[in-house]
Amino acid sequence: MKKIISRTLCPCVLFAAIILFSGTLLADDISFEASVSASKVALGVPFRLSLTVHGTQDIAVVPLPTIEGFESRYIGPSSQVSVVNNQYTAKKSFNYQMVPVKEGKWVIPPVEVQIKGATYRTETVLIEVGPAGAAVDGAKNAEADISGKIKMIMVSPRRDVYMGETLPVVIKLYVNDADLRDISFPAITGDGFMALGFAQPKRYQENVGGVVFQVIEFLTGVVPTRDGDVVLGPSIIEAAIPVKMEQVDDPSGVFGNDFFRGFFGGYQKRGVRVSAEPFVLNVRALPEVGRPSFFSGAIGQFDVAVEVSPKEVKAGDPVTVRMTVKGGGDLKNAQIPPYKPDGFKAYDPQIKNNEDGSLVFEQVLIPSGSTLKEVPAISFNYFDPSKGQYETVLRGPFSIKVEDPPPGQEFKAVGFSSEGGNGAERFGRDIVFIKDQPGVLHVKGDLWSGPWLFLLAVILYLNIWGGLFAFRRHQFRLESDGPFARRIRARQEARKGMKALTAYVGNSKSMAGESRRILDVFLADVFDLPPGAIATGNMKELLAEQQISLPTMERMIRVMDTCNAACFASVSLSSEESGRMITDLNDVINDIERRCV
Amino acid sequence: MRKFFLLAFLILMGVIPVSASQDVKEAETLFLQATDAYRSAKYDEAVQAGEAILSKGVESPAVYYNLANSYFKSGKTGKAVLNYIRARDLAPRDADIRANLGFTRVMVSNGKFVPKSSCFSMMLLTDHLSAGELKWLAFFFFACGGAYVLVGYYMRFRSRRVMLGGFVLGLCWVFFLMGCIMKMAENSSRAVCVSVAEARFEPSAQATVYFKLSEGAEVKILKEKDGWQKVQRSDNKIGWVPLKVTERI
Repeated sequence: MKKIISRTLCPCVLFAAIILFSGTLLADDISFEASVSASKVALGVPFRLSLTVHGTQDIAVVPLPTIEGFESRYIGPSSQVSVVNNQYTAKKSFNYQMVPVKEGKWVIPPVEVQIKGATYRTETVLIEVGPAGAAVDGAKNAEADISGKIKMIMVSPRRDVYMGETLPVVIKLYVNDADLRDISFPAITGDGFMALGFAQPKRYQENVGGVVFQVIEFLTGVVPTRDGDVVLGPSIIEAAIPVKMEQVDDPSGVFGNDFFRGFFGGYQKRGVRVSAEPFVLNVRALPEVGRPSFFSGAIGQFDVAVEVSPKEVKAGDPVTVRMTVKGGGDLKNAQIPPYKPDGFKAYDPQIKNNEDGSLVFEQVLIPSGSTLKEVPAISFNYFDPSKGQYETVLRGPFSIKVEDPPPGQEFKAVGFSSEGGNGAERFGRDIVFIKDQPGVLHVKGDLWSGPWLFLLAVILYLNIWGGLFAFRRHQFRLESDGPFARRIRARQEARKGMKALTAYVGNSKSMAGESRRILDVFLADVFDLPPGAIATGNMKELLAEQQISLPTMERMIRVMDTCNAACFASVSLSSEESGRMITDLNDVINDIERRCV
Repeated sequence: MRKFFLLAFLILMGVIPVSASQDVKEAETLFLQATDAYRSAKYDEAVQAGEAILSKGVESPAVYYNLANSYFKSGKTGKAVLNYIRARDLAPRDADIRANLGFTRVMVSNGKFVPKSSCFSMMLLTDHLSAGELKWLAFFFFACGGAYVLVGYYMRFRSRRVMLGGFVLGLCWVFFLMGCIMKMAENSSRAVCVSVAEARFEPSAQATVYFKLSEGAEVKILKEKDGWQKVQRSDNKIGWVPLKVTERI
């Protein structure tokens, strides 16, 4: 708690003490002045007279003596205290309303006041009183209304200037008791010079002849571009002032009264143009005498600082020479003389304009060997208008220590030319030349390049793919489906057996036995039966289920009967009977295969 | 019937290439004539020779490119742009063709109203592959996918492995197939103005002019009606122009 009190309360007490006793502490800076709100007024129109004491507030009301031509009334005091950058200022004003009662030019005499034993006196103030209603007459008299309230001046520190030199120009706009709005930057008319941009304008109050003006100060510079007499100005500022709208007769009377006029904006902006008087510059050309061989146009007074870093390098490592040029004058187009010291590979200098107006040149040098002991001197040329002569600033030489690099890391400047230009290479533009060879010529839509080939390839591929797929699937079925595999095998075995029957020609018994075996195996495989299960009776039923035709069944029975007769009854078969049996067997196999396999 | 198909196949394989090779030889001669004329700064002759090659139904990127150069030098920028685009469609990665097309486009309309490639078409590589290349690539991946599935079937791969490989190759197939379809769809509606034209609000010479098309401006044909074409500029402005103003790519 104690800490809080000590940290917060103590500074407040100290500050209050400073404020309270400041009137005595700063008594030495006391001044007294009189100011009016307008120096030209109409008869009967009141204006304000302020008697202001600067530097103290410890003062009683300053009485105003009777002044001829005016009636006065004390309005009251006003005071102001400000602390800016630890600078304390205080003032106290005693305000009077003054009403002119006679036309003509009148003087407000000096007013005296005693402060701490010293007497202070104001300057006289001249007031011009015009006829009643002369100053305020609506928009038509807007220009007349502002005359005397607004004025502008343009000044420069000197009139003799060199061509290319930057001459500072100050344009001041004085405004008193006028509501000036939308103020533009000044435009300096004339030719033979180039006007620079304006800095942020300054605003302050200035007492001119007893009248306090609000001042807007514009700072710029002009650069003469030809020699001889050059007229600078007039400079012009565009602005607007609000003026009362003219009275309009409104038959309805609803919008014609002051209440609605005021409510809906009884004022309108009227453009005004304020100009400052021109003046003539005596522009001189830069002298040819003493002009250095390299002069890039730097005019003014400059300080030049050069630094070299690093001071100890290996051969091949960069050394930066940095020159900083400061001072008053134009440096935008300034250059340094060509700087290509022997023993160094020099890159093009980098130029940088800083915001504070200074210019920095940075030149990178590459020392080629350890024999180099110093960076040679570097110079900067400019013209000093105050002396009327050219100046050359030389800085250096600068000692450096260059060591040889380790073996194998020697410096090699590949493709580097110290005489290279500093502009970007510009290339021409046109179409690329024609081709000498026609390339692969082909007929549009032919077999090999058109859609036909593609279609052919797709069809071929799909067929091959489908075939391979089907083949594999067939293989799988053979492996996994026993009855199916037997049916397939039945066909193959039957064909094989039929071919083998030719070996039994002349031996009817063997032929019949083999035929019966072929038929039994075939039927067993087709119907997935054991070989011993083949008999005439059950085969009839089976073939009937499979809708085998009756002639085929009869042929099968005939073959079976013939075989049985030949094998078991030792009936010999003639060649015709053998042939019929083989034919029947073949037909039976084919018919059953067609229907069941 | 089998003999008929065999005969037809032999005719296709033999007779057509023979007649085509004759046209190609003549086209090569004309190509040389065109290049000689171009070198002699006889650009009109070079144009005639180039058009004669195309009238034979023979084409190559170099033929279109040289013809476009000839048109450019003879001041016909519309025809130049048209033939550069045709050349680029056949050889989309040819740097000379791309450079000249870009330069001519800048000359024509200062680079404005040039059809921009959509992100989708850029993703599908339609700017860098011709329609034919995209078509064959699609087929390649289709065939690879099929072959992989078949190998898996033969080698008894696990079904998951077969599906994964088939899915990846199938994606590639779909990718290039879509690129091919998009490219072909684009090509079917693209056109170039071969002369300066005024696009109107209606297909009528009395209709209000909406915007102007410079020679060489590239448009998309939306519709044709009564000797007029409804065209769309790359900034999506749509108007009607006479048929003779544009030439399809």
